[in-house]
Amino acid sequence: MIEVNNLQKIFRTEEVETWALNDVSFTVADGEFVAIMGPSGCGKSTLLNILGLLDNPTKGSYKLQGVEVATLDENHRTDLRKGVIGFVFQSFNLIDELNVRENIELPLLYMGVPAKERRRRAEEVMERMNISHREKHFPNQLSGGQQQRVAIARAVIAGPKLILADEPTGNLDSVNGQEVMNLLKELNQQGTTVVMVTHSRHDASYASRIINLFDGSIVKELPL
Amino acid sequence: MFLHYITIALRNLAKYKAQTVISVVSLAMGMTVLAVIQCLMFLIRKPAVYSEPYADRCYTIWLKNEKDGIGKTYNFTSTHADLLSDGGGMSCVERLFPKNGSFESGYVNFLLDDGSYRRKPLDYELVKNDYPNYRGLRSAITGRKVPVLHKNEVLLSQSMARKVFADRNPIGATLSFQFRNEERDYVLADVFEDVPLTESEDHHLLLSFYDDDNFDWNAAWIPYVEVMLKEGCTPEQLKAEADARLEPCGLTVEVKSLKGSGNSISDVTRGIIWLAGSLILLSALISFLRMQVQLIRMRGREFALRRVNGASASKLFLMLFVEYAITVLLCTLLSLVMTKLLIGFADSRLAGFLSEYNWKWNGIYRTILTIGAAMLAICTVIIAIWVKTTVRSGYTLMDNIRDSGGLMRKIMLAIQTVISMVFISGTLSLLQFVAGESKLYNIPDNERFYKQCILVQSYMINDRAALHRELQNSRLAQQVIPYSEDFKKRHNDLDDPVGKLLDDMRMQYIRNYHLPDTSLFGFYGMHIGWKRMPEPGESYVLLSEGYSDLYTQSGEPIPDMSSTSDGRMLPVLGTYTAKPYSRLVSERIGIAVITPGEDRIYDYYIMVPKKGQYQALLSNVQEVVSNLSPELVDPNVFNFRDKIGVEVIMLDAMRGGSLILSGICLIICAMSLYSTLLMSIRARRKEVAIRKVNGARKSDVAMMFGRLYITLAVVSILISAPIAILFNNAVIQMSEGDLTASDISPWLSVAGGIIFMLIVITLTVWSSIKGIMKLNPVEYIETE
Repeated sequence: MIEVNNLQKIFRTEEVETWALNDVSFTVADGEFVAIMGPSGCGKSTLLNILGLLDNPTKGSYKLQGVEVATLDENHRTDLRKGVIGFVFQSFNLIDELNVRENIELPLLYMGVPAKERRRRAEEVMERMNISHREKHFPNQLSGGQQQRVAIARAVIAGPKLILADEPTGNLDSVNGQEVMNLLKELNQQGTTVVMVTHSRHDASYASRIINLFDGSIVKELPL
Repeated sequence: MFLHYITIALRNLAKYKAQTVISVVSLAMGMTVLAVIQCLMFLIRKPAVYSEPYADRCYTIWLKNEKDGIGKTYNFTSTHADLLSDGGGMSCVERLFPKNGSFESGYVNFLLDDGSYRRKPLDYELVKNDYPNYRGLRSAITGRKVPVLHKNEVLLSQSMARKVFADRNPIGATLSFQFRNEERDYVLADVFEDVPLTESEDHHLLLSFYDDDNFDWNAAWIPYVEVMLKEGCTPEQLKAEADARLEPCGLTVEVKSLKGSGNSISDVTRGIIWLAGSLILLSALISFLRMQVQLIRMRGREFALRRVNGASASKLFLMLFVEYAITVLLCTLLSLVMTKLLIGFADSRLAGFLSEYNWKWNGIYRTILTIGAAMLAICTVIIAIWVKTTVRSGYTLMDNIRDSGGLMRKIMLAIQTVISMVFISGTLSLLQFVAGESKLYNIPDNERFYKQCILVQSYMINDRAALHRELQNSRLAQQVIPYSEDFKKRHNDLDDPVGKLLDDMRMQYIRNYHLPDTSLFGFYGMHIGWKRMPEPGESYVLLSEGYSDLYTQSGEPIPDMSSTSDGRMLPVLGTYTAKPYSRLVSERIGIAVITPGEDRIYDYYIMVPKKGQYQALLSNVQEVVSNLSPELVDPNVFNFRDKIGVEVIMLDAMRGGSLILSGICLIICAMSLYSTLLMSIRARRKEVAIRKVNGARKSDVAMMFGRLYITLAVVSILISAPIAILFNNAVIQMSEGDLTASDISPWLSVAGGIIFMLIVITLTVWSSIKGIMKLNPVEYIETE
């Protein structure tokens, strides 16, 4: 699914040059559940953004499903992302002005799926995430756990091959956090590849492999 | 606490710089425009008679011939006057006044209390002795209605009295001038307040007549008479009686209420002008309030925190009030500065025009302060309503703000767009009107040349021969063109086919130019069609093409000889084309008498300055005239084009005014759209980032922001198109039949308005959203 070789990401300002990623290389097989761990500022989120085609690396190679994507422009990255990658963020990142169903339908909207089909699939995934009763509610009317379930529903509605999760339980209590991790595990067991950034050893225990980052480099890879 | 609010207010104004600048500039422009329109409204205010208790009993009577149909009117003559006044006059009429449309011209000598005198050329109107009182004219000195005039008493307008007498008391002063070829003395009984522009018809001097003055109805031009009905009588009775009395002439009458007689600007027109002025401010105010609503929304968290920390409703009110008050204060100050600059510009560049129309900057600064106060009051009410609703609702501020205002903001934006589109379409209608009228006025292409020439009126100067010499010898002039003009009474032989055509055109007189050579034609670029070239020193006549066309129409040959206004018979040697800057038929039918070498004193001198010497020549000629006749109130030395093309200046003003108004409106609308989008973009950056993460392309982002504006444009077109067509029709009517829908196309105006508006919307939306389209979602997602 993912093949990363000698990936570098350098942030430059007028005064300083920050190496966020330094010669990072690893692979993720189809259907794998990988956790990326490391202290704050070690480059976890940067790596996730590059894996999610939200950003380009400064140097190195990144092959997604065998296709080199490291040098693609924004439009191409966007097209490639559609239906292939789903995102789950720590702060949910739901759109306040859209209700639950509309938030979930969003990826399908940009894939050009007809309204009827969008609705059907949204209902299906809401059922699966157990949030159907909140269909018409707006994000600010939901609890944190519910919001994250909506975010996961949005991430999976297009049937992506890869889910990237950036500290998905960071803003949740333990009960809701458990629930979210169970959902991700379930998705992984159904064949979806999951790459998750986390600080939590407990959450990382759901993964099949842990990659440890420190100062932009991989220091350890542990199969579980 | 108050200092804290001022600090917060200034900090917020500085934080949202673009919005602050846009608000202040657009509001200031709106205030300035409205204040200027208020000055115009003063000039076109309702005539004083409208507020007299008998105003509803006042009617005008117009002569009609049923066979001629509507459109054609007849002047009153002594025959009609006799028929109407037989047997003590009509039974239902209390008072009757002939409306004398022809003014006497000449120069008036004003004797001052120190024995000196001043001289001023003036048109004066002959009126019945109680007519000014009946019209409700007010004394500028006492504020009461002017008195009924005694014999040999006159009334002078306030602006003219100020010009002639300056700080001296004018009442009781002696005026002398020629009336009916006889020099007479008159006493100034009172000074009347200047009447509205539409009512004045330039009469500054009112001269009373009595029955023993032998008022000649036939010599005057009396298009209608004004009557005051007796109490209880109806206009139907008036018409029936007048029709019966005029039956022997084969004429009937049309009776109109004075208010609807067409001699003053209608309420609708007045309303349209006022509305046009107000709409700019309305548009700016809408823009300001929309921005404020959005800013408040963006500051929802701040308000919520203030509430949480104990801010009461009154404290929130005071905080917002200070911010609004500072903004209104800034825009009022800017408007005052703009107005001062505008007045300076107008006084220096449009002096001729302003004085021609007796323009006054009537309390303009006070008007701006009043508008500022009114705006602050509106803002105060809005803040009060908003704070009260918010506090009473019991929801958090954020929720309340989020749920309200979306639809309202869109409606306000739509109103702004509609106003702009109507202004643009209206401007295009007016530009077509101006183009059509310019053709009718035969305006030359090289106007710039005429704007650099000088016209001197010589007839009120004591030593005209000396003036003639001085002007001819001017070293600053490249060319001096003397001429005189008067009218030749046409022969009244109705058997003559050309006479019949002239009679149909109601032309009693033919314009008669007196020239020493043909240089006047060269100056105007008029073409001469020679029948034969004149011999050296030969005096001759040229006919205007309009006049010669009448001969062609009637099948008559152009005569070989023609009489002149001074009774000579001279050979007709050709024709000349129409003179520029005139649209009147009477201007196009005339003759030019060329008498080379004749020792004649001319009434007018056109002076073409040497290159770059316009100002020097103007000053020089003014000095020459002042030296020769120091008693002159004005030296009567004019910019040629301003004097000769007064109507054209009006067209220029209309063109300039409409372009400026629509430009301002468009700028305000564009600024409003731009600032709205900027704030919207600022507020929706996170949303855009999330949408991009979920697959939105640049085009999707563009559509996300642009969709509202596409809808807005469509709605605005649907609303503004009918308004623009109605306005276009009103403009066509303004030309009084000279221009039609083919000259002033409603579709061109509407289509132009739509295209302009779409361009502005597209450019504004594009310039606002091009940045957000390239937004890197990572930067905003990560900050969460």
